[in-house]
Amino acid sequence: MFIVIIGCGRTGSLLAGNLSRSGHEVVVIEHDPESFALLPVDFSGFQIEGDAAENDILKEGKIESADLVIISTGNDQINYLVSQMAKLNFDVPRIMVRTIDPAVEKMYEKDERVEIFSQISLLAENMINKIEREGMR
Amino acid sequence: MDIILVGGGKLIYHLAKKLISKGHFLTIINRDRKQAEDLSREINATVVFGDATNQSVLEDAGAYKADNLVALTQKDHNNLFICKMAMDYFGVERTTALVNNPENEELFSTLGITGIFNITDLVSSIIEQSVVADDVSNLTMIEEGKLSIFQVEVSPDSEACGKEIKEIDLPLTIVLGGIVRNGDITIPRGGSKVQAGDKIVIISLPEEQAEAIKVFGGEE
Amino acid sequence: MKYKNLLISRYYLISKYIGVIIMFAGGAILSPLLFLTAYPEEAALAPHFLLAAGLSILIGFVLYIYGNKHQSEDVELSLNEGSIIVIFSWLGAILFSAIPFITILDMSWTHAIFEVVSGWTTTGLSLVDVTTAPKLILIWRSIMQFFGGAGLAVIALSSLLPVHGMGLYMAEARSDKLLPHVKRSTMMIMKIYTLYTAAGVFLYYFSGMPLFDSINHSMAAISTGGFSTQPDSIGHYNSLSIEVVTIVLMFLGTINFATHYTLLKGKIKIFFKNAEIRLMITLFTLLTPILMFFSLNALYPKLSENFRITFFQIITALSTTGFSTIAFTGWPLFANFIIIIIMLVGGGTGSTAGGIKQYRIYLIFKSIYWEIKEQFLPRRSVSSNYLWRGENKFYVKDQHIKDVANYIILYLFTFIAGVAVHTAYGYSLLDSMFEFGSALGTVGLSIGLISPEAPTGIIWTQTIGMFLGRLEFFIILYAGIKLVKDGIYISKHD
Repeated sequence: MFIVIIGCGRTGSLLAGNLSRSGHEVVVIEHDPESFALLPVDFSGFQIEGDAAENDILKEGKIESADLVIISTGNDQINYLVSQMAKLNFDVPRIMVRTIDPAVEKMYEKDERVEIFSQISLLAENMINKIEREGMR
Repeated sequence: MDIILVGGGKLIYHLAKKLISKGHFLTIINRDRKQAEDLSREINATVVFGDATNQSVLEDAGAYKADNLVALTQKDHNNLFICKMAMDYFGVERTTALVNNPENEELFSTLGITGIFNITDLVSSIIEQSVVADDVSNLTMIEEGKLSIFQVEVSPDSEACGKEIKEIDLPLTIVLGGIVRNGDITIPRGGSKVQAGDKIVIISLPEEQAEAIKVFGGEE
Repeated sequence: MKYKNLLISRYYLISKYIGVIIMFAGGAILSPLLFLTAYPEEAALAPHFLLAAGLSILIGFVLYIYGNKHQSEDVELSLNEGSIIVIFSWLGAILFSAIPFITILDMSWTHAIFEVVSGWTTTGLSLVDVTTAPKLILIWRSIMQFFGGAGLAVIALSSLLPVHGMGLYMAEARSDKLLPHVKRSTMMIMKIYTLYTAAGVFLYYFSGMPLFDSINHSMAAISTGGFSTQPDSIGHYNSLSIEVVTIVLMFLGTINFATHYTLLKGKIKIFFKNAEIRLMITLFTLLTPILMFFSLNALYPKLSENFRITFFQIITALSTTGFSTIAFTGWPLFANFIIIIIMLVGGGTGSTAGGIKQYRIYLIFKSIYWEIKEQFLPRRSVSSNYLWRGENKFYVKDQHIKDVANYIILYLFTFIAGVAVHTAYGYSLLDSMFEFGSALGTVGLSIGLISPEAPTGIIWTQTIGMFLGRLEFFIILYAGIKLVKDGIYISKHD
């Protein structure tokens, strides 16, 4: 698959490294060049430096050929904007977005095209389930 | 009208003053403590200190009651987010966003934002027009800069000087609104003659402005 | 203790990869036998190839099994590990490839190693008498250049072999990525490479070259190798169409693969903005008339002949191919000097060519230009200097310029050392510069020094020069230093 990853922080770089190792073609877009150092040594995809909220940069990242775009910057608002750009400007078949603030999840409620992965909610849910399960014993 | 204004800096300050002087009820949301304090001193409006991308802040500012929300922060993505939240979650009927990246105008519009100020295109067209000639003055802009009304002084060596309106070679989409001569205004007809020193009031699309100026103002 | 185990697991992986590539080399040694269908009279030579291939596959297999038993899946290959793999795979391939030359042609180890290094590094200098050599030997030389031009690591990465990693790709002096995954990138390189070679065979054949020669020359042309089935190289055919085909193929061979990909995708404007393309065009536009009118007009009074010969020789030197249509011994000093300079400049990076590489030369000159330009800008101005690489703008940082400058210095230093050795043996300065420059740049043009009678020391100097030039020095150093350091660490912590 051709995958574009927006944001090369800890999450983005981890995803990029694993997906590249699995054999997918990966392009990473990130505005801070020092973040690229988080990528593993054997990452063999493209690295694009620039503001992902600009159509030109997304095009440079070949988003038009993307099968999947994973949006994972540290800013919920930027993630939202880029998700809409991916959907409406470039018609990417599959869009996955990381959300940080649980309150932001509501923004995507009616959006069938975008799959959200809410880091705090998922984590909290996980921990609570564990606590409750163990509490039962 | 209940308006929520989001943003900071001098723009918000003067805008708020103007809107209040016209009788609107205003709530301002600002992220900077010092700015929020200054605003609360100078302006007769409710000032809420907080980040408008945060739903609870919007709620606190009375988003449920607002008729109009104007997001004028420096970042397009924040403006989009705030407006969308206002519309989808709080049911605010009209939202206006400031847009820095002209390419976002269409996207924001598709997403349902009703008012969009494409600041880049606006300013650039003003700059372009002001560079054209000295004896051109811009009177006003209509529809967020999509239509120009301006005034050109007729130059003696111009193509139009001494001719009747119907003889002048003008693009069809230009409308001549008036001829100002010695302080008197006449509405131009086909037979009206154009003299050097006349000021012609023209309504046109920004793209045609340069052409019209050339015809009346002469080659620069 | 933990670091030692980590090192050891890395070496198992290294052993496995070297094993895989050497087995592949063994397979390559078998490939000339396909031509027995056309030349059954040489069947008696088959056992020699089978022996060499068999040894190679056996040793490779042992290394593979040894490495495969112990290593875990998750080990990442950095450039340092990649360097060791590339160096030892190449050394292994060279060793086993030499066997047929020793057993069939009765060449000494020195001469045989020279010949196969010249093959794998796509140089083209030769100690073999092509008029008497069997067809299988001739085709084996061309096949070595074909595979060597693509690169053992590239072939391994692009194939179904269980070999992965950017470290490996970068170690073999390949820098640009065509596609965002190393396997797809290398597969694309092989596709382009094979396509052009096949096209070359057709073009030669339809220009009147016999089929066997066409196959050999096309492989040697695209790989910018230069081995020929004729003792007087392309000049033997005295055919304008063959020379034109050769020029086209040499030009293609010296273009960076990512740039090829840009061209094949139809992006012609970006293609012509590319730094190396511009440099190449500038160089031959400038140098052809200079050489023609200031030097060679005495030798070749007819304008058309002058142009034909001059242009061909310039392209063959610049692309570091090594085909020739004349003998350089007859040329005036100035012309030969210019050829030496061109051989030093070399071909495109990330292509099959050698030399310092055009990108580096272009970058250094651009860097000088930027320095002068900035002197006249406002003191506090900020500039972002860039040039075109592949399809994108590449913004040049000072670190990058430093790396390139270091490489050029190292190259020139090696050049001086090699020339010194040659002069010590009594050869003239110009001849030494020509011959060693040709070896170091993996060009293959000869001014006559290389022959079976040449002193052993000279032959080894050139062999080492070819190896250093092709693998671009640094990885040899990295591999050597890493091995020593790791060896000391492992033995100290037993």
